[in-house]
Amino acid sequence: MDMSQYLDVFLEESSENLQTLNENILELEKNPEDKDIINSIFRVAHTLKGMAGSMGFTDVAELTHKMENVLDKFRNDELKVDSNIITILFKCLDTLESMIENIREESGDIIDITDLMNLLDNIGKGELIAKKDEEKKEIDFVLNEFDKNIVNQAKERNYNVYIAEVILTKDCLLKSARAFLVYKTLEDIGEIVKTIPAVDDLEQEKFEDRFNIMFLTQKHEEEIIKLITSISEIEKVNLSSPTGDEAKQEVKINNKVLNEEQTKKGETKTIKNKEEEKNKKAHQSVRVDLERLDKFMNLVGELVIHRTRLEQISNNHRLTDLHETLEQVGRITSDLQDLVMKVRMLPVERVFNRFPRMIRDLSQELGKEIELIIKGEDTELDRTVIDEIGEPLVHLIRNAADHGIENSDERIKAGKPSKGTIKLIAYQEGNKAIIKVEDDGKGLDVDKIKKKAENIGIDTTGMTEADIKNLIFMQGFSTSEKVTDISGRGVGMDVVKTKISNLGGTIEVISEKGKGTSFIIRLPLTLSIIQALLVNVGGETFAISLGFIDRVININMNEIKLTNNREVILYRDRIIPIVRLSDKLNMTTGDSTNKFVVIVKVGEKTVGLLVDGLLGQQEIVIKPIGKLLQNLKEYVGATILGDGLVTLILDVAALV
Amino acid sequence: MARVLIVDDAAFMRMMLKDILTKNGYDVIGEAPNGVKAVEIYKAEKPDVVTMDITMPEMDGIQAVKEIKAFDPGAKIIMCSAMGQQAMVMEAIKSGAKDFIVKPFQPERVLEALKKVLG
Repeated sequence: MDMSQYLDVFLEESSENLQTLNENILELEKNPEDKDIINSIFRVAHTLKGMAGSMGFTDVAELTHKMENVLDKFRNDELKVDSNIITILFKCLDTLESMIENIREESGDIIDITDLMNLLDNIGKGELIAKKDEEKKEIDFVLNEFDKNIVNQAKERNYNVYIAEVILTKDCLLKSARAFLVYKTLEDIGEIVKTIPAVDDLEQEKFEDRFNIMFLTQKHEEEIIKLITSISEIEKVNLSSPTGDEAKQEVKINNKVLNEEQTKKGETKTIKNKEEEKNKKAHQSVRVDLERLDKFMNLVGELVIHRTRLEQISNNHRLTDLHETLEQVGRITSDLQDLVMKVRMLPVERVFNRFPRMIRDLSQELGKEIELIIKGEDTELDRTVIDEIGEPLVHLIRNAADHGIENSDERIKAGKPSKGTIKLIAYQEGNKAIIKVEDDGKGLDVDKIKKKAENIGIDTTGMTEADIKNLIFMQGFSTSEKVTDISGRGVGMDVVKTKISNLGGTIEVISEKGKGTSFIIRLPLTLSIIQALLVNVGGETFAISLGFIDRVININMNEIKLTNNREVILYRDRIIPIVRLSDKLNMTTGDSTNKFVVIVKVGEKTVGLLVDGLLGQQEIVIKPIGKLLQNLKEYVGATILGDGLVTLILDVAALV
Repeated sequence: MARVLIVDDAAFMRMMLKDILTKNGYDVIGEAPNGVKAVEIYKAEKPDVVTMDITMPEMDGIQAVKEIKAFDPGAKIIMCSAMGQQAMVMEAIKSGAKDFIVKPFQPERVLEALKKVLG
């Protein structure tokens, strides 16, 4: 059977299951006695095992199976939950995760799980491994005096006495359950006298491929054989009467005849049931391929472009009728945009839920007591942002745990509770989503940062404390004296910042020495349709995302002053550095002395962009500029305007 | 064409079973991710046969068998179990399950069990 078609669903579901396992095991460590949690872990592990087995990923299935054995011991109170076992279980989850990842990437790497399997085996010692013995043995059914007595009595009461020898198919699984099914079937039609092997042995699977049951019944041979053979995985049934000369009668299942009977029965039933089909229940949700959503988004984007074009045409020709209709169309497309935007949104929970586990590991590793408080995990963000934001957050949280939170001793000395707290907070503010990472640790050391800055040749004179603190986002900046495994390789914060800028977001740090540090990340809610300001530079039109723009001012060229070899303007008693877009983009500019400065804020930095003219504000759809022009760092993409012109969208973060 | 209700908490498993069954001429009239839903759909649809996973959230397969059997003593239910669930399978059989299949599924096995239960 071709399984590749199920791969996507399998991957998605198993990732979900692993996440649930992670959460539940964490929960279990806190409440080791909670049977509900154990049961729910068991259930999820079980589901995972089943899926992996069906997909033919035997390694995954085996490992989960071993985990299950351990969990079963918890469940039956044979084993106490302790942090050692929890750690091993977590290791298993990590390994499983890597295995699933390998499957996803089709890397074909094989992860050696023998060590883990042995570890698990040692925990769950005494496990019975179902042996597969090829040997088959005939069982002799010997009647003792007592049995013979029963036989005689039964005959007097007009009962038939039979011994059924049931042979299971070679690859029959769960043999004892199968045997039990036969037992139950026969019990329903009569009375069971004896089984060989004994019932206990049957239940514990202490038999090869066959077993005998002696029973009394008023039913006839054919009927009994039909009943038993209607159970699956039964190879053969031999029915014999214990008196006389064991005249065994072999009965072979005639599958063909049975098949035909069924089809006939099935046909009549369908007609009857057709009417009921209407009542079929609809599913609550559907999984949709992200690619389709992207396509959908793209199409809505196209629609917006053409709507703008139509609006322009209607304006040009002053067509009132068209204008009214277009207003309707405008409303609908806005709704459509909102909708498609919402469809792509996911709660940040997706990213946040991996952190409790991380904090647990970190606090063990670092020997610190840390508590993680998560708030606003239901805040929604665009799927793309969700996918990308994890890594920077991991970095920030690791930093907080490693550098921020002090040892318990230090904390007590400083008059703080011995347990450090890291808060992860998300909420929505206007058209931005805010994520905060706060710790109550020792805060940033301004002097240290200053020293470091001077070491690598940054002049810090005249900088405010807040400015100095934000230096940590610069490339190659790490103040940690020792590099640990967890954070502080000197590649940290600038990568975090770049990643967030790439998402159109900003990050800033607020910190007070001795009290703690707080990182504030601002992210746009959606990525592909933005409000933009259209500006004119050297006769060309460019778009600037409104998200960056603080204000726009009209200046005369002679207001631009030169300090420290940099062009600046004085605006409301603030010195704002100027970037001439025409220089940056290698364009010639008009010689009018009346120009505009678009003041943009990127993080904590405020810069004025000098442009020749303003063209107005518009909703634009960001389109990637394609592989060929990928290296142009100045642009985030392009858009098509109402008049059909292609316009480049400036990447403000890269220009300042 | 027999009408089947598939019960399993993993969409993946449901999808697989559904494929196996529909390719072989069965009519899958419904899918349920837990016991509660299964009982609900059973009562509304009265399928000819049910494939029932054992470990599920909300209500497990065994409880679902009990409730379905209480509603319709003639209900035909095949348990879907995995290795190591011997005791639970027996419990389900006691409660009235007609047969069981063991994961990972082999299509022939699934079909055999269905045929026999319906025969």
